[in-house]
Amino acid sequence: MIEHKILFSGTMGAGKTTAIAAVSEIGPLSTDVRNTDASVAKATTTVGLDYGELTLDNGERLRLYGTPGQSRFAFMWDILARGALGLVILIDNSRPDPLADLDVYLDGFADLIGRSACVVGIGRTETHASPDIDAHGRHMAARGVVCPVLPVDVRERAQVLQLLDLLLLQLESRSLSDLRA
Amino acid sequence: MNIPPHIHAVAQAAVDSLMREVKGVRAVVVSTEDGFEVTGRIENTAKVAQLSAVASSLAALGSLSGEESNLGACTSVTVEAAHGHVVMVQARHREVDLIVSVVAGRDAVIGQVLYFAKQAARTLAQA
Amino acid sequence: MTDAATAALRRPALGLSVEGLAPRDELLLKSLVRLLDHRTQHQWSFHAERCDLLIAGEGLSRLAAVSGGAAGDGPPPTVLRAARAGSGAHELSLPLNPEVLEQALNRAGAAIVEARQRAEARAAVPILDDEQAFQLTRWPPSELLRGPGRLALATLLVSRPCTVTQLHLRGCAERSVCLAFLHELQRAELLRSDAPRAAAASSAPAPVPALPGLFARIRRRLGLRPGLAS
Repeated sequence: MIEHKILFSGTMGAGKTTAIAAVSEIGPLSTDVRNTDASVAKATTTVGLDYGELTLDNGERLRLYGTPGQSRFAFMWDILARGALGLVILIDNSRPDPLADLDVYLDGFADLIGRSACVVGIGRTETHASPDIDAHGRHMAARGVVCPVLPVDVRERAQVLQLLDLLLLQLESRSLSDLRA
Repeated sequence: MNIPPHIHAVAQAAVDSLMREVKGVRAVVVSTEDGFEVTGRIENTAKVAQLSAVASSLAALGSLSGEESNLGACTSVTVEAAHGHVVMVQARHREVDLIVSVVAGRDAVIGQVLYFAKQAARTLAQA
Repeated sequence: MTDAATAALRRPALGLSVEGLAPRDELLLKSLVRLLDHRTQHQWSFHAERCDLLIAGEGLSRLAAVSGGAAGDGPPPTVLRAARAGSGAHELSLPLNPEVLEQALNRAGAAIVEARQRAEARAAVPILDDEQAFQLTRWPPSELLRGPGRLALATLLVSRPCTVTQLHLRGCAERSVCLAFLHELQRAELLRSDAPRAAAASSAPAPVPALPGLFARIRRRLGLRPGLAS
């Protein structure tokens, strides 16, 4: 059986597990444990991976992996990024410095972003409007990354699907041979 | 999270005991389940943090594989490598879940490492 | 590929020069720039063909004498003045602090890159025919993306350079819609353009290898509308 992979990464609490759950045909498997980091107000944290999957109509499987958000698990990012079709980065705009958070994942997944496609979803913009989407876009361009960045509520399946739609659009575009006008 | 001093003391004693009494042990680290080091002895202090994070991931993946295989809760994970083993044992204290990681060379007897690592984990769980 | 090599592929390359600093400060500056190379957001080189940033010490008496780029072409470089405290206006304090230098280089680099992109956009030819391929220099602000199909069109313009016709066919949008969108993007200085063949050679990312029909199967499974024809 041929298997393919899409990776979800981003800050702790940004909704990686929720996003995977929104589209996975199985209840996502997770490696959440109790969080002992007092600086983050979250009861649990992912230390291994989140896992969901979809079976395509010819039997192939699309695996959806969520990475741990904290950079001390960056070794898992490298492992999980191998062979991934593309990357969805989810950022929590309510955190103190979302642009610095974004840098962590742009750096951590530089190789995957360079050879594949990426889309960035910014969460909690309705309550935390700054930095706005344009600021995120400018910041990414200054870092040499131009990719779709949009507000997202990963509790809404349609919005998660929109992120995946834009990811697929980039991949399709880059797999085309030159289109004759 | 601040690890209570009495747990820290027991963890340190466990580390010292394993290093001293078990043949072939190269390093011992006690860490929280979410990958923060509590204490340890290893050749390079930077590696303590690394091993803590790796042990956290492996223990969690071990738990997942145990559950998915309907084998119940995971108690330990053993990695066999070219030059030795890494054994990671869960130590579930009522206040904090810990992992005892032992790095042992080829000269160690793996059964002995497992036995003493689990003994250390039991002591920690009851601290 | 090493992490350093991968990051270098993505970081804009900028030229840096030093004038008017004491020899010891200049040596320290050059050493720090090399040491900070793995952290700065741009790849700074003292040997680039054009100078984008000049770090000027108090020994440089006439900033107006500074010329930019090779043979004086291109805009003059941005100048960062370096001086000791109490020596008048300056952007970089001596003795140099690595963190302060890193931040100053990142700020200057971001401003230089943005100015360069705006200049490229201003130099854009009218969007009339398929002799130019366009690509976004950054993701557009939300207000430019309101309108049917614009999100998809913008995504296509991110992925690879597109002529008007390619955008029309790939994006399944009316040619007039594509033109209108491109015009707005150009007015917002968000587009760069090049001849299609040159654009394909230089700025298109490496093709994504994938099994035939894979993305269509994924779309069907997710219930998404059909994507681009392969």
